[in-house]
Amino acid sequence: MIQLRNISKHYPVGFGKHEILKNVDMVIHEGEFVSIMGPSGSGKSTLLHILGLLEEPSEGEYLFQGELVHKMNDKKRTQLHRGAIGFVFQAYHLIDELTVYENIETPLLYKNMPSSERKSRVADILDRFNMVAKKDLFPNQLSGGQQQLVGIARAIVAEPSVIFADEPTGNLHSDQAKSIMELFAELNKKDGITIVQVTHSDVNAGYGNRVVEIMDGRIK
Amino acid sequence: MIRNYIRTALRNLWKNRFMSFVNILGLSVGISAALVIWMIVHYDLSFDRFHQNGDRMYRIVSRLDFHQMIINTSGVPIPLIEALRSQSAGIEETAFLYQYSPNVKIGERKFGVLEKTTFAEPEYFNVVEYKWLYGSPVVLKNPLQAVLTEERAEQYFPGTPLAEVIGREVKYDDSISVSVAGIVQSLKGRTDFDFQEFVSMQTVRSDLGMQRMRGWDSWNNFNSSINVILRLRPGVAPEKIDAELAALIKPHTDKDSENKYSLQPLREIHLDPGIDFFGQRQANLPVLYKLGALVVFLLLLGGINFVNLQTAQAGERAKEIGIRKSLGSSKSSVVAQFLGESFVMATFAAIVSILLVPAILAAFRNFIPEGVTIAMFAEWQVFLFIPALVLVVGLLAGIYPAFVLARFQPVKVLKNQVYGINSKARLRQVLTVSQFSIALALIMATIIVSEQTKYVNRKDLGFAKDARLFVKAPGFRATTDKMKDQLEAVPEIEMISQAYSPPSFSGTSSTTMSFGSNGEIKDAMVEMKYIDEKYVPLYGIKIAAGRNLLPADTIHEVLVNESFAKAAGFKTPEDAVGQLIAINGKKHPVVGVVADFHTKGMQSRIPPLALSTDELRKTMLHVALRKDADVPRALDKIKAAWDASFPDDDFKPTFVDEALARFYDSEVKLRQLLGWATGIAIFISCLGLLGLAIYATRQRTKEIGIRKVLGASVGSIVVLFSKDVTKLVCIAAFIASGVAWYAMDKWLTGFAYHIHIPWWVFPSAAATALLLALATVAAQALKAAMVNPVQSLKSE
Ligand SMILES: Nc1ncnc2c1ncn2[C@@H]1O[C@H](COP(=O)(O)OP(=O)(O)OP(=O)(O)O)[C@@H](O)[C@H]1O
Ligand SMILES: [Mg+2]
Repeated sequence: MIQLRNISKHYPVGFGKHEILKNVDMVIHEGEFVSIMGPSGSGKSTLLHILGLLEEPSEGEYLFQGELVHKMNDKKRTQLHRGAIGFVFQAYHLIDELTVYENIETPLLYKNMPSSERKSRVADILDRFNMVAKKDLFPNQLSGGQQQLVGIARAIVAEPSVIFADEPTGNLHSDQAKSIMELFAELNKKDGITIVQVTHSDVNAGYGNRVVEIMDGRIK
Repeated sequence: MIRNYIRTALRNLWKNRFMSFVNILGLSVGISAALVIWMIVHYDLSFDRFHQNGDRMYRIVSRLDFHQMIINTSGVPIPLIEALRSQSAGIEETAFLYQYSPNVKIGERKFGVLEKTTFAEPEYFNVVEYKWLYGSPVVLKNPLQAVLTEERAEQYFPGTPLAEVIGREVKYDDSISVSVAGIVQSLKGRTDFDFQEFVSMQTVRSDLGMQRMRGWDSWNNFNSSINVILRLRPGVAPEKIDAELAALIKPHTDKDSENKYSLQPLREIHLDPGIDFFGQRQANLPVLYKLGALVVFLLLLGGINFVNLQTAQAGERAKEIGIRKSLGSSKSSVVAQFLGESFVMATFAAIVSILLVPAILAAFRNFIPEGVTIAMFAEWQVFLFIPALVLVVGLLAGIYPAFVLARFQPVKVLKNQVYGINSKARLRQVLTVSQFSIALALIMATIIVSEQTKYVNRKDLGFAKDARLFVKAPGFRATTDKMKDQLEAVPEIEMISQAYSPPSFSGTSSTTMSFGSNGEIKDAMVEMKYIDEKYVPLYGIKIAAGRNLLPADTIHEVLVNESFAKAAGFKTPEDAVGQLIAINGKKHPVVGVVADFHTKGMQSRIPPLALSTDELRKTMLHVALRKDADVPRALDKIKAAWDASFPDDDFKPTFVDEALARFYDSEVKLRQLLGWATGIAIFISCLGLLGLAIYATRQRTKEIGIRKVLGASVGSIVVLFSKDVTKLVCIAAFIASGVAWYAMDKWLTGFAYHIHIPWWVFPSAAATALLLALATVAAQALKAAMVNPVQSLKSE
């Protein structure tokens, strides 16, 4: 499903360049649950952004579902974001002007889902995350952890074929983290959704079936 | 999805309340101006569109070439009408109207001189269809019959049932008694055919005296109160009739005349600025074009604010776009979303404009035709114009910011690295410069127009204009003489003259003259004034050589002005004195040369002019009051003398200085309009600047805090913020000066006598704008600079 060949990423810094990812090769098969681990600043988020088609690698080839990503046009990428990819940001990134309900509803709107189905799906998710009471609040009225939950809910509501989650439980209590991980494991096993998560926690990594260690931009 | 967009749009509008307010206000000024102008345009374009077979209706117009002078007229010689009727096969019906402004009396009740009365034949009603309440067109076959509209009937016989109005008597000019024979409804719909009273043409035909007075049987009498409206047979080309007209008139005119006769389609009558329709207000297309340009400017100013503020806000909106893109929003849906926002904004602006329209209509009454009212919103052309305008304004203002925002890369914006937002600062500078260029050019134009108006009002006219008045006497020489004798006894009056027009007068009377020892002026049309021996001293006109005229009953002795003497080849005025001048072929001695005086507004050069006596044309009484006279008291006394002599005519005196001011009506209007436009332009521009300044200070709060911690003074921070604005306004002043100089120099060429554009106009306009701009920006900077630095740093 995902194949990285010799991927590098660097930013220009002064007269030189700052290498963040170096010659990364990686294959993730459909139905896998992969955890990416590594110290702060090692390039985990950058790698996940590249995987999620949010950022371009500087070098190398990336095949998503067998297709070369750098050859895709904007329309194709938009299509993938609508249907195939769900992304949980490290910094949550909710739309400040929309309520919890509307934030979760937005990806379904982009999929042109009929209103009745949309309503029942959003209601389901809200229920599952115990957020029904908060559905009309705006992001700045939520705690950090609650925002993170909304971010996760938004990523899975459209039932994508792959979820990229950047430290999805970083701000949650261990009990809540546990239920999120159980949810991920269930989505992975029952619906065959591929999951790639970044985590600092060995416990969370234990829910997956593979760990990729990253250090100074290289995969160990 | 749309709901989702509208929700974010509205919440964003609310979050940035002040910016939204600036945007909406700026746009609404432009939109309401556009709306009002469109109402005027639609009003003027919808005249007389409802007539049956209107596409086959025409008016006869003529272009008469008098060698020196070209006159466009809708007047038609009466013999031509008769000839057309009997000889032209292409014409289905010919209506012939003869406007008449009688002094009306019913029993003992006086109505004064009433407009909107015309002589008409039954045929008129075959061309223009009326609804008849009583009677039918045939009643106009007989002499001394009148048909009234309901309104006129109510005016003449208030409260009387219409049926009883039939048969009642109406007396015109104390001599003609007509009886009411029919009542019609006024035409419904916008029309120039708004006659209230039709008198049978037979009344004139059967009265020889009336016919003679009105030049009834002359082929050369193009009297503009006699018009022909005709309807062609289907399929007949108007050009065919044009040729027939020329052929019919040819045998009765000079062989070498270049006169042209043509049919003017009904729909063009209201739009012809050259030939009016019985004195009705015409559409003034050039003025509408100018107003249209002004509207474009105002819309532009509001639109620029929108683009500026929207791109300045882009940084704040970028995060939302990044997230949306990561959730699968395509570029086009981002564009759609932000266009939607500008439509929402434009819709609000349109709503505000609709509320503004009544105020605008009231404030600009003088510029707007009376018929243009809020009631016009009920017409679909006006009603639908509003959404159309919203669409256009929303699209034009929103398209650029929308594309700027849609181009953002999701991760870059989410990581707060939106490159390119700051580079848009350049664009904002360009737009701000254009805005201020427009505002500055308008300030400059306003100053120049008012300088020129000051100049024309102060310039020495060559005659005395203060405390002098004239009044047209109704005719009857003996009565006028008697009244004059009566006035001689009024102590407030210094002098009285009987003559035709005052020195400066809108009308012109010209005659063929030859003058000059070597035939310098030969058979030329030269302006002529008919005066008496008191005229020159009364108006303080200087005599450059020779002497004043002696009293005479016909053209006897002649005065010429310096320009005429010079044109005739005389080196000094003295040389012209004693020479002979031929007027209409008859020779007369020139007894004096008067110093040049202005016979028209400063738009026209002083023409060659001759002055002489002619008893028959001394139709106006000119009165000079003593310097110390109590004017209202003097007027009362003159009125008393008038009422004794002319009890049936209203006393309508005109002061010479007021009549002069009328030459500058359009300049005064222009100055008012420019004044408004300037104020609005400055207002919108400063509003936009204020928005940008608020953004800049908001973004730089941290910088200001750090600078203050490092020891910067409040003053130095204000200077920091004002530097950019100063630069922009200076660039704008430079551009505006060029544009304003070019445009106004051209405008001034419309005056034969004009100022040279004073240099100080440009720096002083620039200084004004700079002051306003700095005040706007500095206030914001000062506010930011006064904040305790710890506060601003902590909040980061
Ligand atoms: N736009 C940029 N320009 C220069 N360097 C950058 C840029 N974006 C990220 N980096 C650098 O790339 C490196 C990797 O960043 P990344 O966000 O991928 O780390 P991470 O592994 O996710 O860390 P954390 O666990 O703290 O989230 C960091 O050293 C960071 O400084
Ligand atoms: Mg990270």
